Amino acid sequence: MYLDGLEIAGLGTGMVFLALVVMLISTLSLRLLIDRLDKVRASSAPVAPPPAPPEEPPVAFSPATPVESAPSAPESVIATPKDKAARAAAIAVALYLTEEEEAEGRTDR
Amino acid sequence: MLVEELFEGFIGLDWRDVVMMLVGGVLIYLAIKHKFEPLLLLPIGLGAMATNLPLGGLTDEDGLFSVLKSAGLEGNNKLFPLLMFLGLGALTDFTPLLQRPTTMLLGAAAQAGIFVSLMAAIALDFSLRESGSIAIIGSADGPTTIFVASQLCPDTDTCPNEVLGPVVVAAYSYMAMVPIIQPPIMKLLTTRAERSIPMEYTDRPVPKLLKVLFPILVLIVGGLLAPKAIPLLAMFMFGNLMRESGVVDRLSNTAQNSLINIVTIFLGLVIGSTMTGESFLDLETLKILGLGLGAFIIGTASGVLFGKVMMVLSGRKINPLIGAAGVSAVPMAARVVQRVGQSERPDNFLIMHAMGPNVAGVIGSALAGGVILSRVPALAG
Repeated sequence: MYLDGLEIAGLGTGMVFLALVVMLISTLSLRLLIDRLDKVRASSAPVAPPPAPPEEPPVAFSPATPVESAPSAPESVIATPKDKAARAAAIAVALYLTEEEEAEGRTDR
Repeated sequence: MLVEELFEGFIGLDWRDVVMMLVGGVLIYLAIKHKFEPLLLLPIGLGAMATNLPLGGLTDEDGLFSVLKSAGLEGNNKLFPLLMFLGLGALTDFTPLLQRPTTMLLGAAAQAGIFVSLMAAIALDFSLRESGSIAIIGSADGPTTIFVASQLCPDTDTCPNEVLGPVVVAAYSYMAMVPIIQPPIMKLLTTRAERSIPMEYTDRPVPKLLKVLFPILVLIVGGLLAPKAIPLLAMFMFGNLMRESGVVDRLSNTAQNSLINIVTIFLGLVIGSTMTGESFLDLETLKILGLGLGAFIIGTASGVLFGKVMMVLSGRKINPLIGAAGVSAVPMAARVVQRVGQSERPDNFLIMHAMGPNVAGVIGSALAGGVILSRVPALAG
């Protein structure tokens, strides 16, 4: 029976330590993973508020100021995909209206 | 004839019944006067008194205590300790452990008391099953003790000595006496300089996701390594998951309050009912009480010694006293660490550092119970 007791004592101590070591390593790994995820999430979050909608419609272009040469906002301001999409949409609308004006012969501006 | 009928209670009274009623009275006194684990010792004390009154029939086949016992603590039915574990899980905050996860190892070291007292019980001629039941007193965890002891020794056919009553009374009594048992051992094994090592507490934020995943992680890892501990771990971690998820506050509050309170009442009465004069008043009970005390002492000592190892490895950044909290006994053991540490250095606040090993001790003791439950029946046959 002493040998049985020794077996249980040895196995028990080893098993409890092993389980808690595995739990410790898993906990530390989880913590690391969660911290990394938080950092990734933080870096992809917007760094500046989206630009306010223009007070005047963005279609007031004249042929003298072609769309291609229109001054663009610095990259730091237009940083998010949402902003870029808004800008692309504005350019597309401006191009469409300019072409329409040209087609209708309204070049008096 | 009429006189005999009038005084049949007195006539049926045995001296052992009187002694056991006095023991019940002492438990009630300790609970009320000294606040020694009153939630358990009060119902245990009254249960013991009522059981030992003759002709009451409380422990007859259809008696109240027998019905309660069969509902929650007989044969393979371990409903009461498991429901208690559910409530305790809902009450436990793992944040201090997750803030400093390395202290988890102290919860393992302090379980050595269980296995050393197992060997000591075998040396004192207890059977392997009885030795396992006695050794688990060292877990310093009431529900784990009841869960393991009642499975290893469900009746006197399996274990000749009635161990459940003495084992549970010893466990709860020693848990109540942690402030008396632990400090001399902690002081004996550490120098004044070691006890004065400062540990600054910084409230490191713990992500909510980690708090939610931790109980699931413990259940899976612990369950795979010690399958017999799964009922304990599952209930404890379910309770904790309810608490941390934040989406079932009603259930969590019920587990923390109403449920655990009801189960505590029933469990206390049932344990008290096992303390009959015939089974309790013998030399074996004294041996069990002595072995249980030894298990507590060795558990405390091994925790402190492992704390010293961590102190050396960390470059004296860890105060070895916090190892004593690894014996479980939440939160009493952590409070004792705080008191002993502060007696050496008043500006040293160790309680939050001690709470880590303290809750890790609950996990460690459940795992140790699982190993005992898997190996003892296999070897004892």
